Amino acid sequence: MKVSTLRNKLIGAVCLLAVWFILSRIYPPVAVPPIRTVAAEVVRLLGSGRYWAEIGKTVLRMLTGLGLGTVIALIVSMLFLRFQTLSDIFYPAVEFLQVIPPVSWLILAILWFGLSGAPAIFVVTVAVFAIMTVSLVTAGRALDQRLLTVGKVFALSERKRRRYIILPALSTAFNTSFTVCLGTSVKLIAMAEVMTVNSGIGGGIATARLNLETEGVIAWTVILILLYTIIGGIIKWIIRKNLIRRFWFRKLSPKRTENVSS
Amino acid sequence: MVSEALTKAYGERVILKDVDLTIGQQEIVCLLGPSGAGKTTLLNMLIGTEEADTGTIHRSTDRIGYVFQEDRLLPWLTLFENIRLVDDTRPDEQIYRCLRNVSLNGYENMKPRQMSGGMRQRGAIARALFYGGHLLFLDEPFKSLDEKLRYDMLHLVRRLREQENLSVLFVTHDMDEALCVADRVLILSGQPAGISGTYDLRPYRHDGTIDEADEFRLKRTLRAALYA
Repeated sequence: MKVSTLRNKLIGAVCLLAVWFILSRIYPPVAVPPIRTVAAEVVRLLGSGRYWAEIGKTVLRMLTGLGLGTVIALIVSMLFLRFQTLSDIFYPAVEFLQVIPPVSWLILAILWFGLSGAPAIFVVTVAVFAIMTVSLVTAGRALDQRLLTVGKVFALSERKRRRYIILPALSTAFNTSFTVCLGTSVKLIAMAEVMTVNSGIGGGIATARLNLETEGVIAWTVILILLYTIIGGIIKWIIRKNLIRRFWFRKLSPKRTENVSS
Repeated sequence: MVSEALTKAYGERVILKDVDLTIGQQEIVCLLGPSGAGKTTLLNMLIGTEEADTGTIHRSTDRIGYVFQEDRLLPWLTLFENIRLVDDTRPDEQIYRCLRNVSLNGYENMKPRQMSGGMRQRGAIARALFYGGHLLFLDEPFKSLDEKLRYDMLHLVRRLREQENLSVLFVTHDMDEALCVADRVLILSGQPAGISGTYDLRPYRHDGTIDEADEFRLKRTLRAALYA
């Protein structure tokens, strides 16, 4: 990271903390707890093995929803792009999914699955599916037709065209929507847990709310932000290291290194 | 490759009518026609990506190397991977050989965005050579290059013909390109378009080049045929 970028980020963080500090001086601790109290609560939560188990439950639910939503969206998008009739019939329904409030899904999911971790996973899956499908189908329809002609002219199989032309061409749209979906998943999983279970980070927030422990609510929120940052960072690292690229195009790589002098 | 009486219409509009075309072994045939005459449509029919309404095509091979107007290398693949994509059965050595033929050895790990326009177009030729074996189609491939580079590339095509025993169909609207590269020039013109003339340039070529006086005369003849 450039020094100037790091400096700007630090300035932003300091400004935020300054505002928080001022507000905590104006309002009572139950409304805006002091920074020190919240920091101590974060340390207490992260220092306890019991809370790590709760964080683990939330991460597992979130990644399950995110993974399921992503895989289903990839399959459905490919089908929509391949079969126009299918897209004509069902794509509008996917667009509508986007505008249905998650809380409506959550209430339905509670009725279907009961009060367990399943409704939280379901809500994340539906949200991720809708966002990603709309994004991939939109990008797919705008694909550079000239690149698709390459597949035709060189008689590439349908599988090769999908793997080496269509999916890589959608990778920018995928990366962008995946980042959006990750943020959405973090928000939704916490909301769903607050309303459905007394475990996980959402469970922690719900308990803190019931006990009027504002610092607990904020501390759990800080942990959610940390989670988002860590998972997002791992994904960025994977992309930066070309790990996905190397795996995806491994069959096209040279078997040995050419002697340049030959 | 031989095509006979090819006709193509889009709706009521007949684009090509009764097009006969033959490409001999190790011959460079240049299809010269004004923009919009139907040259690319004819090429698409010859490689089989578009159906002719009537007529027959006899191909000596199913694999025809094709170079587009733009390089159309996939930007997310390296040069090597772009070439490997069109055939994953043949050994790596053949890819390196094609790269050496177009003087791109050592650049195989570059992505298209890291290469100049001329390098990318040579990469596209390497891909076509690797795929196509002995039949190569080029569809106005050098029109976006500057003059010097364009003539270098035309000479490369002639050199590759000798070296790789290639038969080439070169499509262009540029008379200078046709005179520089072709053994035989076919004029595609008219409404609907058909082959309105065939000109054998081999008798005029000495050590690969046509002298200025002959070039002047040939240009006049070709222009007359093209815009008749």
